[in-house]
Amino acid sequence: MAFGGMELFSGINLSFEKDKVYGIIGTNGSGKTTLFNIICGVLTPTHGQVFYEGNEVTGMKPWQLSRKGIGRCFQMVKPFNSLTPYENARVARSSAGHYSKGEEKFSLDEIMELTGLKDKRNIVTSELSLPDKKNTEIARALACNPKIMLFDEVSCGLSGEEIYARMDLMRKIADYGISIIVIEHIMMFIKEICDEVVVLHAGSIISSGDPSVVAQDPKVIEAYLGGRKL
Amino acid sequence: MKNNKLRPYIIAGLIAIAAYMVLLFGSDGGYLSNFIVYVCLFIIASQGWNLLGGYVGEISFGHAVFWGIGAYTVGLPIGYDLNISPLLLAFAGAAVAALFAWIISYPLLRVRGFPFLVGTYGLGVVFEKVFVASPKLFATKGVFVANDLNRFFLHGMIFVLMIVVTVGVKWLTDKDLGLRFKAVRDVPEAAEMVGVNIYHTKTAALVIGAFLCGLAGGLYVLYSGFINPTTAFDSSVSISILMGPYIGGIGTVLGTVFGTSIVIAIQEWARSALPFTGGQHMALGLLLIIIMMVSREGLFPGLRKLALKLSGKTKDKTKEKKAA
Repeated sequence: MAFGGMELFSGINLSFEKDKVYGIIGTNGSGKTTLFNIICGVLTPTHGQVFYEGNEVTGMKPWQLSRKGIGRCFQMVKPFNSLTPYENARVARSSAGHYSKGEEKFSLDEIMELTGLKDKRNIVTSELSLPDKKNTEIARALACNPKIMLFDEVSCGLSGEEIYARMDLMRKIADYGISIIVIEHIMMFIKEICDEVVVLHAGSIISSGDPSVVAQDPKVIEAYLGGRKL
Repeated sequence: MKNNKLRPYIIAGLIAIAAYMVLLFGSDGGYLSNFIVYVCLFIIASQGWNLLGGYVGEISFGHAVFWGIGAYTVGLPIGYDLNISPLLLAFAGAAVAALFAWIISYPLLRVRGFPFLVGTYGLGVVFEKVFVASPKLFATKGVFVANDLNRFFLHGMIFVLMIVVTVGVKWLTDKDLGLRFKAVRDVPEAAEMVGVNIYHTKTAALVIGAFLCGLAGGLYVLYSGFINPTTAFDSSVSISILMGPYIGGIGTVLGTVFGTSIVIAIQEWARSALPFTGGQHMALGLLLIIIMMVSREGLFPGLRKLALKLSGKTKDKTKEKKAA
């Protein structure tokens, strides 16, 4: 049962199924973030269409799509710095979350608990550390009542232990029945949590499928891993 | 038991009010009373400006338009000898200003940043010129707004309204809508990603702010008894409205109260103390330069920082490092 399918760049068809964790990898400039921007409505594709839950959503604005259940975390953290983590989540709950009232998977308190921000919920976000700022973004996206969440390199700038914590959190989110698409550079991360992986290179898909199979694909090794075998 | 505890406060409060009355109306022919009313009116208008300028971060140079619309909604019917309750007119003026803001938001809020600033400034100029050139709108000679409202009553009402508006704005900015204002100011693209419609959010801030500016303008006419295009739409009115938040601390409710009080006080002092035309503008400009050099965020956040520093909290030191 497909909930989304799209034509990306030129002559490419990409679809994501419900209740799965997808990984997107690719070299710099291969179009990973562009893909996210198209899914979120930041960019309108010049050709082709975007479908979500069987309906065409091409050209819809980000705020409309987030109300339909698409949540996103940025690569460079962008929390609302003058607000506390709890208020960050409140903005999302009262905006996008308002359109799916009664379908909330978790309350704001549960989100704070889940993202480990319970003790810091009343500190202004600008004073928090980078991992907590990233947690704030995840909490904010969760408060939208998303059906699908997009993570753009959430491990960027984090230490090993923090990355493991992020992987645990993502698994928990997936267990709640939220589909996930992650952009990631760390192969270990992708192998651990993803059901399927898509490899982008220069705006086209060069490989896709099971992570461990894709990692052995000679085309992927050449383009992305620079000839080295993982 | 509870009553006994409260009694000293009630007595103290009554004494304070009595002392305030004696101070205002006892001595110098009501000069101080007028001054406080003008401060309160500009605080109401500045809080309205602060919603858009401070909380949403969209700087407007034309909030005098809403002040002027409020003022003329009171002035015109009285000028044409229509028999309508003046207080009703003041609130109608606020509503008309809000309605106008809602209509004008359609083209105006499509742009942001500098073009928005220029657009709002242009709006003020257009309104002033239209009113100056229209004999039916009493042109430059203005309207004398005679009304039989008790000045003590008016003074009290404006003072109470100022407190209600200040508390109300503070309340609003902690509500969901107010949080959305700040979210749009902090990261617009992230706000959109969590379902905030930026255009609607800005419109809300503009319309509520216009209501407050219109209310202040209408009450200003009732109190001063006179309105002409210069006191309604001139850019110096816009500047008086936005100067308070800038000096006191943009995006803070208390900063707006302090800042506006200082701005109006300096304006009044300079008008009599400096022996040349435009002296009050010069004094204000100087004040703004000094504030920007000493504490860019404004007086109120600056003082709060200083207090934190003096009390020796380490938290502030890390902040300074970041700034450096």
